Amino acid sequence: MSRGDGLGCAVAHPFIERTVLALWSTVSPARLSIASWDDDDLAVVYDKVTGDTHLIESSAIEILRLIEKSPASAEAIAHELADLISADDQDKLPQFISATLLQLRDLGLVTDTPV
Amino acid sequence: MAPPRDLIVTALLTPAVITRFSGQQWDLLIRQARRTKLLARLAHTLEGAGLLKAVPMAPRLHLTSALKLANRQDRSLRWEVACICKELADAGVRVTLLKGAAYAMAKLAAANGRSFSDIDILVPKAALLNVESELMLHGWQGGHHDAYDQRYYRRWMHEIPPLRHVRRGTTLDVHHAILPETARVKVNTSALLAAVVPLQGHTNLYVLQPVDMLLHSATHLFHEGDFEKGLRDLFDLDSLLRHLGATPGFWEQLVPRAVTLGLTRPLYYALRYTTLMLDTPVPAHVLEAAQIGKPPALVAWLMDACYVRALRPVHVSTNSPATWVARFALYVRSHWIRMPFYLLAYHLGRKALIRPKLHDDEKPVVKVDLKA
Amino acid sequence: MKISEVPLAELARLLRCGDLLLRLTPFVARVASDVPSLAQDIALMYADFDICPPNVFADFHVQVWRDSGVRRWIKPQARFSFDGQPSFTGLPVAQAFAMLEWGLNWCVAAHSHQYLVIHAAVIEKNGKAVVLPAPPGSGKSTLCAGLVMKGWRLLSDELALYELQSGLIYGMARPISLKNQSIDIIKRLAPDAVMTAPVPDTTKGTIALLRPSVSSVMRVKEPVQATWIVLPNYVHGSPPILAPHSRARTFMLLAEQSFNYDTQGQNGFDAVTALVDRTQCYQFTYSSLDDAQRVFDNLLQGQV
Repeated sequence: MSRGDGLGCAVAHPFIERTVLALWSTVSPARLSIASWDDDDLAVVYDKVTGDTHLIESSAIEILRLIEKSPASAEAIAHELADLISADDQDKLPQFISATLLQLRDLGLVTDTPV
Repeated sequence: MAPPRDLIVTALLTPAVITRFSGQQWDLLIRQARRTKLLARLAHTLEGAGLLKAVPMAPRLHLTSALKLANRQDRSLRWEVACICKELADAGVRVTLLKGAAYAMAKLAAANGRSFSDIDILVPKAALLNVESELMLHGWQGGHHDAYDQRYYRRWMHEIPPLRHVRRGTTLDVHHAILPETARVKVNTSALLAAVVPLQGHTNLYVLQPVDMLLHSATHLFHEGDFEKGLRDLFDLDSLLRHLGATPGFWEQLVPRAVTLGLTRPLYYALRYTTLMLDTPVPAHVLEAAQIGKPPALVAWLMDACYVRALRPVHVSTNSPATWVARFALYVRSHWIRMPFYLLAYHLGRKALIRPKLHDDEKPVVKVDLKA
Repeated sequence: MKISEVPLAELARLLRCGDLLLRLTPFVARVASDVPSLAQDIALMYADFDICPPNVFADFHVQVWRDSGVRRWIKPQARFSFDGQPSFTGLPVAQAFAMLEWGLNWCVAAHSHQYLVIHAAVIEKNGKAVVLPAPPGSGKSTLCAGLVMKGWRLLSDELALYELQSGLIYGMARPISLKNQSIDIIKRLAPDAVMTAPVPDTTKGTIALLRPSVSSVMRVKEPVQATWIVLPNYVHGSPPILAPHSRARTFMLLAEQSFNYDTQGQNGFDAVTALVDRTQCYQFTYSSLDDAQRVFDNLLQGQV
């Protein structure tokens, strides 16, 4: 996704480079237990294989739930979640999604396969 | 005159006896089991025999607690092995598991109710530097041993100093032989590595072949000087013999392989003390053949006196002057057979001059450890 | 039979022989010691607790033995042992009772996986219970002691025993440990409070143990269902502030403050989730026990 300004110059790609051109998926679906609450912007995740428990943002849970159903690219995720974000935050969405995917990968909760 | 059979041994060998136990007997049994690290194994045995529900509530909670802990450790171990395999994927070596990790991954009965602390792997000596550097790239670090300990390990021992993972906190022992360099018996490690068996369902994961696994366990126990886990290790041998004995060719290969590897003495001891103390079923012809490993009559008699006492549970209930003497004699022997006298004197002397450091994890304080 | 019904000389004899079987519901501890002052401290602090008949199954065998040799007379030390295995640190004999308490805490925390053992205070009033998990230094024990002296039932000061399947929490109603200024604060708040003589120079400063109320001990078999989780946060000079706290953060704190969360695996995760689901979670910043008492009473009456 790129946007040009009125003069026809392309802006740098808003997604973090290394999250592009990959399909993101959760590690085996039955492996994660998630607990979240309506009045909380944080949630917890339990990984049955490693025995680790993680504190993550509720928005990251949305991403996890999305790619649990089927692997998706960062752009596809952004497209799906666009409706949940206010208009003001739309331009921050790609950056946020990329950063979250990388964090989730560091925690061992998601994997990426290059396409 | 051999000491009487201990309660934990009786309970493990003939579990049905527990149905008649008094509160006092349960009290002693749970304590002996806990101290010998056989509590979870006892729980497993009773569960398998359908006897767990017959245990009174108070001791039963200790048994189920121990089982819970052992199950957790088993899952932890599996994850750890998977991580190590991935970390060594580019090291160009076969990853051969030893001891507890091997029993667990090979799904042997010896793993039932076992508590795991470290993971042990065996690699060729030539690949050691490469393996060490790959591991360090993936977050494994050597402990803060002083220069003497480092030299001691690398020059004389059969393993490098234990590695600890910075993030996961687990300990890994990388062996390049099954006995120290300085030991009087020189075991042919290449022969061991040439005969390793791949584990089904895993990539690049191996264990020693059945007879070698048994011989390794026997060598480990009968070169050992510290008997805190002596009885547990003897039960491991019992379990391996009962289970692996069913593999085709096991009994036929056992003694000849011991001869090839130079391990007839520990094999003799292994068969002697498992049959004597744990009634392990071993075919008569194998016992006969294993006699070639028997030491001279006087030594054999002395070792009998020592081992039947040293292998008892290390617990207040079995403390006696005779047990103490037996353990001390075997402690000295273990160092004797691990290194030549001149080195032994230097090593023991140096250890005596250094005040032992108080490590936090040796104090009975529970560490809160959320692995996140 | 209660400890208070046993003559002191007999209590000391039982201790020396290792025949004192102390009922610490839901556990039984067999205690042995050759430290004379320990018999007196046990008689005082555990007066309302039962001793068991001989030869019952004991969950834990614990000992507090004096060091032998030169250390017997010069700066005498004692050492805690669990079933004959001594701890590495010896401590001055004056700290024997504190050492016994810490040792017993360790025994329960390390070996009782039928519970999720949470490092938290638990108190109850009018059928409603508060769980106060807190890392050291948050003022939990002082707050707990203050509220217990003003009518709340004590379940625990250190170890909350959370039964995973039922979601019920058990306590042992054992003595509360106070340190440094807290000792004087509680003495002023409740002049009738029964405490051990303060023991100076421990690793935690000056320590005293506070005897639990008789009614707390009498009701030790009654578990509770938690209504609130309150994270105490002592801040010098602060007015009382009871602020709603993120459930996810409360979850992580409970898990971190549990001795055996990791051992419980998935069941532990589910249990803490259930606990956090069914309670209101707050952080309580305070500096005065009078303020605290008021706020907690308001909580009870539904006025938050």
